[in-house]
Amino acid sequence: MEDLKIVKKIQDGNKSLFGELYEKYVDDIYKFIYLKTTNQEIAEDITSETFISALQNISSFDIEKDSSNFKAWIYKIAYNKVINFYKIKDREVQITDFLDIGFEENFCDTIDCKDKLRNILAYLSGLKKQEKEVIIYRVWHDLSFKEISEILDISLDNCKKISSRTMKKISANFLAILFIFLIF
Amino acid sequence: MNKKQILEELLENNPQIPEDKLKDILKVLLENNPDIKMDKDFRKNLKQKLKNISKTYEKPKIWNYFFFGAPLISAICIFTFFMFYFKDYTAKTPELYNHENMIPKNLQLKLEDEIYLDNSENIDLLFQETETSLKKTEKINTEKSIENLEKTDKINTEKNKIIESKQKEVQVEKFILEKNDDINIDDINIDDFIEENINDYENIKPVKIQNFEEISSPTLFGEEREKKEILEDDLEKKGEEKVEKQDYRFLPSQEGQERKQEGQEKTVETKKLEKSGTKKVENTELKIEKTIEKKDFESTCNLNGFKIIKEDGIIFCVNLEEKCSENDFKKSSCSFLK
Repeated sequence: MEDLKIVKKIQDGNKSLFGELYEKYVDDIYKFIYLKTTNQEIAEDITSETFISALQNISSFDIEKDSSNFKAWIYKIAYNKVINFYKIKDREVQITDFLDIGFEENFCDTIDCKDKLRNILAYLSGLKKQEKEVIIYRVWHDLSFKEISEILDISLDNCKKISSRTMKKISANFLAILFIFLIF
Repeated sequence: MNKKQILEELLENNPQIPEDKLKDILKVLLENNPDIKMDKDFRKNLKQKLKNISKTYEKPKIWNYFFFGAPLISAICIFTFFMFYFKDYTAKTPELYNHENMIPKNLQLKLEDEIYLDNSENIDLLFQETETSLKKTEKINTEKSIENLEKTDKINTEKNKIIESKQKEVQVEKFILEKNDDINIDDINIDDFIEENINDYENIKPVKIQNFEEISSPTLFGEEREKKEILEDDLEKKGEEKVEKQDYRFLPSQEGQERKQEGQEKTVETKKLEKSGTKKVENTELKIEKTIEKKDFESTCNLNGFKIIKEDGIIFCVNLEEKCSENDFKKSSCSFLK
């Protein structure tokens, strides 16, 4: 069933259908939050907060809009929750900080995973924050440019431009990346 | 993950970058995508939590309303129906239901306390009691009014008797004066005297006394008698020492008419004036007044429905709270007796 149909039914009073949306997005949202917080407990707290907030405010979700997208909406909630969390914490952990914090136990199951992530993040550390976000959201979270533009509150063209610029940077340094991968 | 779609997008947005290079970049990025798994218990718990929350936020269904509302609505309907039915029934049979207005308050209280309207016998008994109590009150009221009327009648007859006797007395006095009889009015029985001289007596105009004030005023006949006595004395005892000049030209009749007697100048002894009937009349008048006042006080007290008691020889009219003596009544200082 399409997201919007489920949302409409939920809005009509059948709140139990929210479970379907939960099952569909809970892993992605958790991953999204975890990559931003790199802490299991914090990620769990923010995930539960995100879904509870979505359930409570689902009636405010406008399904009549052409651009309405539940995936983008729930990612936006998660994104805002993370921002709020770091506003309270006074400092946002950059994705590049993964290198410094020394991975948590449950983050990656294998050593190979940890190494790969370390390598790619090491390369990505040379990129700007928004450039990193656009590429990661697009490749790792499978979010469309439209959805990314909604989450980051930027225009679609701007989002595409950022993506293009980032890819140019990566291609220019691609040999260096390959070298890094080869070494590790 | 749709690798192809991402590649197409990348090619579209970056036409200057060769396709192979983009493929490699994408491959590296996708291969490095971390596989992050969340805790299963947390996942379950969060689902349960959301379920519970969704229950509280869930809109109540229509059949729920019906389930709880239907009995309530039906109860209201039944109640309203019976109310209207009962209203109609009471309107049709008022004799059964309007008896409450007929029952006096004391009986109503009794009814509430003791009588249970479970059967018709009790209702009959209640009506009988109501009727008897109503009759009793009516009887008491009529008896009171009759008593009051009788009292006022008595007072009036007594008044009339006194007036009549006085009239007779005055008329006889006049008759004696006109006849020039040397009869002292105190020595005769007036009724016997009238019977004896009935023929002559009928010729005399009857003296009419309208009220007690007339009785109390000094009678004129006393003066006439004085005049007669003076004339006689004058003839017999001429030149006595203590004489007094008096003008007898104006001698008013009993109707108050002036009778002129010209050229009569006689001397009068002051002592003889005391002999006149005025004194007696005055005494009687006082008595009459006293009795009337007494009667008035008592009758007013009775008429107002108050009690009369005697304490140390003084009559008091007693209200529930106040006491009023005859003197107070005269001074009109009785607040409840006017």
